[in-house]
Amino acid sequence: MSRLLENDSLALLGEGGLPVPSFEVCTEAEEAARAFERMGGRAVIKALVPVGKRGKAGAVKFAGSADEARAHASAILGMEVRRFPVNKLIVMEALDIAREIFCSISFDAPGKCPLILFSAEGGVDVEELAEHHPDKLLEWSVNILEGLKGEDALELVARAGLSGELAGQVASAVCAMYGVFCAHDCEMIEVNPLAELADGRVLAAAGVVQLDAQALFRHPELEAKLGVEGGNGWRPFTELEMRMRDIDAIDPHVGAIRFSEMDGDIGFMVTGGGYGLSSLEALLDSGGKPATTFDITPGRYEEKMRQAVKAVLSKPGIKGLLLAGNVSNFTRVDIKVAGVVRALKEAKLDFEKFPVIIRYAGPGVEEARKLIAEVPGVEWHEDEASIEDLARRIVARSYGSNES
Amino acid sequence: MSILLDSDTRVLVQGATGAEARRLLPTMTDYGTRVVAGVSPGKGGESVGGVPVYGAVADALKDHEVDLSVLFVPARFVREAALEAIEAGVPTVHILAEGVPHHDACTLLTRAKQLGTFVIGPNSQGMVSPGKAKLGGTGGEVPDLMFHPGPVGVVSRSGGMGAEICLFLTREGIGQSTYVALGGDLLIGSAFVEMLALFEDDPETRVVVMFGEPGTDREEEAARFIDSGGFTKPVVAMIPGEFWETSPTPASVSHTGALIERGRGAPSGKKRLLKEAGVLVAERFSQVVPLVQQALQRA
Repeated sequence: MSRLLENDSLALLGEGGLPVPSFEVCTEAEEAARAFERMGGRAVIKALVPVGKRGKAGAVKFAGSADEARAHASAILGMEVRRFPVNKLIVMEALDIAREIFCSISFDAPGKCPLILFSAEGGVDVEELAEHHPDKLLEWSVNILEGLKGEDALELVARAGLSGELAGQVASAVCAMYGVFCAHDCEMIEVNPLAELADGRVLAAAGVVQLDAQALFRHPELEAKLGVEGGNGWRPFTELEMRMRDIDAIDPHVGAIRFSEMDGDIGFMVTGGGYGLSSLEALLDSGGKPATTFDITPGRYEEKMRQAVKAVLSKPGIKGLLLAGNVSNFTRVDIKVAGVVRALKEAKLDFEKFPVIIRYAGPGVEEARKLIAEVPGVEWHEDEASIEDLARRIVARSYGSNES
Repeated sequence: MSILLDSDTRVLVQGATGAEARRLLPTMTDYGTRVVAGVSPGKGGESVGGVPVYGAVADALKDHEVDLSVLFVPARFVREAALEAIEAGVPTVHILAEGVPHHDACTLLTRAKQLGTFVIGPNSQGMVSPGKAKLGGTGGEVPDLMFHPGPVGVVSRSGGMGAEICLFLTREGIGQSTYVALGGDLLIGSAFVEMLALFEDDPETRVVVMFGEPGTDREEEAARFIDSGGFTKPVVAMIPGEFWETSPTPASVSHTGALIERGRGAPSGKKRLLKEAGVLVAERFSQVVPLVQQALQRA
């Protein structure tokens, strides 16, 4: 995932000229109590985790004293918020919020342009607002060649019903967000709430910045901030997923791996986005329970394939393995198969009993066929096998039916 | 006939001296693609597979008339290369690279729209008009194994699945007029609607197969276009991924994703709209070929 944690998101927005609250990141309760002293007498203690709805999970608490800050901090540290263990906290100055505004910038696929979503009534229930009062959610398309001009931002906030000095401050905030969006190749920026405080100031009380994974080569300093903490976006990485990340890292220049561990028992290593998705649907249709999903972009990836297959075979309870790819006919399949065959030989399994079904076609298929013949018992298919044939075969053989 | 690419389409190859182009350019010219020139900055005067290479698109255009430029340019240089072709007035720009930054794609697509340039991709695996010409990697060295001339237009968001559909059609003796891989990225130039409009005017095409994917509203747009009479020939569509809709949904960290989609993007909704527009929807891959056979009888 290329989403920054809240502290890094706020820091980036702050550098871009959007006012943000004072905050500190802590890993211990005592540290949180000391940070509290620097927040002006009132603070909010929040779990620093890569998922939302922390408040509803009880991981956001108000503190009015250092003792309270310490107590909340030690309660929240050690909690688990939507599967993510809380190892870090944010201690943030408490804000007197008079009004919550919602603003996000992302790309609109139909319009092929940056799209600003804006509502003068922000907050955690903005989806419900959009559903029941769609007129209160404003959509504003930006021409990327012209950028977002100050007068456009003013018109946008005026249309949303803001006026006076507040309108000016909010328009500047939207412009600052757009500046960050472009300067750092963001895929999405969301500030919710963009808060108007009781004293009239406007600042980003919370922010999410999602970077474009395809543009990280231009932003090594941001890439370094994307640790493994974010997991796959909704849960932390599993041990097997961490191992696959290490395998992917052995050579960043060939075959990027996308991998996910699942609850089932059939090793599913079917490559190609659309082909993989169609095959997964067919597997589920046939009653198969996938243990993994796996994709690798074309390249000289023999060694990566060897290690990846070994990793999948090491998953406890695995009953069978399906390896397949669509017939794209421009990547050599023998490179892939060479890695697979080495892994299978090293696994020293009886492939009459542990089913391995492979389907590849394209250039190098004759060589691949010869390599596969070195591993007795492995079931080999070429372009005649359809997605559903393969799914039915691996399910029948993995779950004990003897039909062949 | 075919769409976008014919045996007389004059093709420019950008990134002509790179490894990908050196490997695939001969497979294109062997198949019949009329490659008139290549471009590689700093490599003007060289030649690749008998094709003269220029240092800039504008230089190539001084000596050659060009209908289409195909970019074998790595993702990080695509913005510059595509803008060069767009500014020089090349009518159609076909971008193969996977991993083009969103801001770059957005910039070049916006400029293309301003100047009326037709863009395919980024992240298109290629295009084939069987028996006439092919662009990009799809079909490899042996395109005849997968592609055969005939009456079916094939458009796919997935390069692999589009080729797979062509393979299974060819095995059943059903040929294709043109196969286009649209590209799997969030931001791409043309999508189903643009292709359907071209296929509508192509007398050789009698049926179109669409392979869609979850996300965006490209299939929904196509359904509206068909429903409004923009495309009058039979259409067969497949959109996998409905099973994700019933999987436990991960807690989202942001509201924007949900707000952007708001009912769009789900395979079930796409399939429903397409069915309402009269499209034959294949729930599974094995239904695609029989539905095409059925549609051809109707067409």
